[in-house]
Amino acid sequence: MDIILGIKVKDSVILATSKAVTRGISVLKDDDDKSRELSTHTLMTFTGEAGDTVQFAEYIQANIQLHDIRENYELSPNAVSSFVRQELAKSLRTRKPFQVNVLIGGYDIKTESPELYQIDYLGTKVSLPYAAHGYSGFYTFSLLDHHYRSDMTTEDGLKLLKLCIEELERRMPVDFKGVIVKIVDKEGIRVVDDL
Amino acid sequence: MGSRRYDSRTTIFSPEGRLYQVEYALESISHAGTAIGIMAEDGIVLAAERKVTSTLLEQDTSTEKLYKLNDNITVAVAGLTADAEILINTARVFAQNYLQTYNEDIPVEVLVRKLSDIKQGYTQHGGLRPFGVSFIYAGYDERLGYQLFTSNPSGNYTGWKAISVGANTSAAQTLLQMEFKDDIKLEGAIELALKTLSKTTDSSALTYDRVEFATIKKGENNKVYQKIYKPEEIKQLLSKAGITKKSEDGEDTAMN
Amino acid sequence: MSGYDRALSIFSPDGHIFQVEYALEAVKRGTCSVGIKGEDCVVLGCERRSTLKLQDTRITPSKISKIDNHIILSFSGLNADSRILIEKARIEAQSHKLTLEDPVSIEYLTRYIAGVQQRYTQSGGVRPFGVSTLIAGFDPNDNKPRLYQTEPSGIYSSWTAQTIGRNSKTVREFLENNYNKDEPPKNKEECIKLTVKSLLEVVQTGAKNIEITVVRPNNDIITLDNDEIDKYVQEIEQEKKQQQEEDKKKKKPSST
Repeated sequence: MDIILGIKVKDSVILATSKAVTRGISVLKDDDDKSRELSTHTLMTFTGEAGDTVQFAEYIQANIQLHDIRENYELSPNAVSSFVRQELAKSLRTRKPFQVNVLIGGYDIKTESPELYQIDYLGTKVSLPYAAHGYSGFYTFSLLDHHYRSDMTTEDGLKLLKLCIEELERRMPVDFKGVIVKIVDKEGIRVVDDL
Repeated sequence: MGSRRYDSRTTIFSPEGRLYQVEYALESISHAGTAIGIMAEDGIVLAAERKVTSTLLEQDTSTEKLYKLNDNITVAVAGLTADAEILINTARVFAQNYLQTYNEDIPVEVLVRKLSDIKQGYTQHGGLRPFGVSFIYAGYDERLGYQLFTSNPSGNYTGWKAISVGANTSAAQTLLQMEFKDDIKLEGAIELALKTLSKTTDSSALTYDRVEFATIKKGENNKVYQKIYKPEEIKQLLSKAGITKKSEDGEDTAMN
Repeated sequence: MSGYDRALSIFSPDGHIFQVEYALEAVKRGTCSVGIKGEDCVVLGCERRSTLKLQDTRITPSKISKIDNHIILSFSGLNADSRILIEKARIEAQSHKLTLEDPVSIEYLTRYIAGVQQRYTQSGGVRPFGVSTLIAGFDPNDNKPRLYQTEPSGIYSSWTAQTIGRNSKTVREFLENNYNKDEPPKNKEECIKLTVKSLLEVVQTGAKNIEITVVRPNNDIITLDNDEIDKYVQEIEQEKKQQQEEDKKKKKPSST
């Protein structure tokens, strides 16, 4: 029931994840951050099997950071997402695969373009203008289909995201304790304090 | 003979802190056919001289000094060809693995470092001799554009604007230092490479069957492509650079 | 020296492990590195082997490397060996962070590197690393400058100012005379200046053969470019000249 959404606009990518950690019928935590910074300009949000998610995300994070220190150079979001896809595809063919789905938002400083990738635990990678995993897509894709423009400003993107969150709050049967919103653009990654 | 005790195994320091096996490998390379690399503003040239052992040898079928590693990188070899091919195979697999993982071509230095690390391993772990090869790598990547590297049996690698390895390198390097300009164009680099090679060759004349030649440059739609020249094309290059003719003169004077 | 220096990890009757001692010789043959603690920074500097005219400094590997965002390392000895150590150290730094959340402390990383070096003095079929390292940085959330040294034997030690490699004796004497333990260089600039000054004791060719990297708290790592180093070199030479002139003036009246 985690919310995990991403919208790519003209100069940035906006990523939102729900703050609730639930187990069975209880909410354990209401300020969870389901994202990890992979590098200065690449952010990964994740959902899936509890435990797998953080383990996988931090493993990826360590590897990307190792790369950046070794080469003194940041991998492009496309290269990062390809690496993540390969790791999931490799894991799928082991005895106990990671059950993790991710969104990767990044800003390619070389081509000066925002990028958004959706990757699932089967190793399917797609580049998309807006993306979600799990239920959140069912509630929000109609809104996104209707209002989304690829040349939107970040501000308009946030407005659109707000519509989506309001819809989720209205229609979802459970309380997901709100969302953490982060923006990736040429300046790097920052948190949006109030949507 | 004082060094006899230390040179039998690669994994041993001599009392002066030297690795004799590595130094001997370097020595063997200094007898190998010369290879030259020159980086121009708009591309890179690799040229190498091969030793012709017999006129009956089929020359046209394969290169033995120049190898493509992937779409963006070519190497020139000086030293033991058999050793080189092992490393080249490894490099090709590594480059494709990188492409598969990241969906991007491998940066030149990453591949150079990978091969150099393998070479280093053979100087530190027991029971092995070092690789008897030096490479000149000519490559291109998005980050740093055209790049020219060398690596040697010790596992060291260095970046260059123009460099030679193999026999007569010091003579070749002096010539390159005099003639190389930072704003040299590929056309000029081709000529410089051939001239340097012809002036430093041990044989009386530089003929097309002794030369291997390759370039890397950007073609249409900014795509990098490499070309390994065919014997016919080398013939043309040599006469265009005025080397074929000059060498005939040289022979005449030598006969007088 | 009757065969006890051949098998790698063997004591001689008088208690020497020759391969380790010879590895130290390899370190002495390497270009010089200097590390100096300031009040709020640590500076690593090193001599860059004579850059030939055609070398491409843009892509030639540096002798000072970043291990993690808060640690830098410089070395003297075999370049290729150092890459292997650096790679191991970088992996350990990230792996430590992955399992324990916190970045490695400088001492932990030093101990790790020294441990690797020790292992290579006691394992079968390998020679020791021909490398000494200087490791500098600040622990996470800490303002105390740290500077360590490791050696081929696996020994490590903490220093206020230290130098390794070729001519290190000269440089150490300079440091011993010019570094006041109770009053370390107050700021970055003073610390860099002292580092450059100490290197100039053995580097004749000035800024183009010097590398400088400064580390300060909170992952602040800066590598100086050639022009910046040159400013310090000019300043130091100016001061030397003035000093000489003053000395002359002083001498004159006394002699007349």
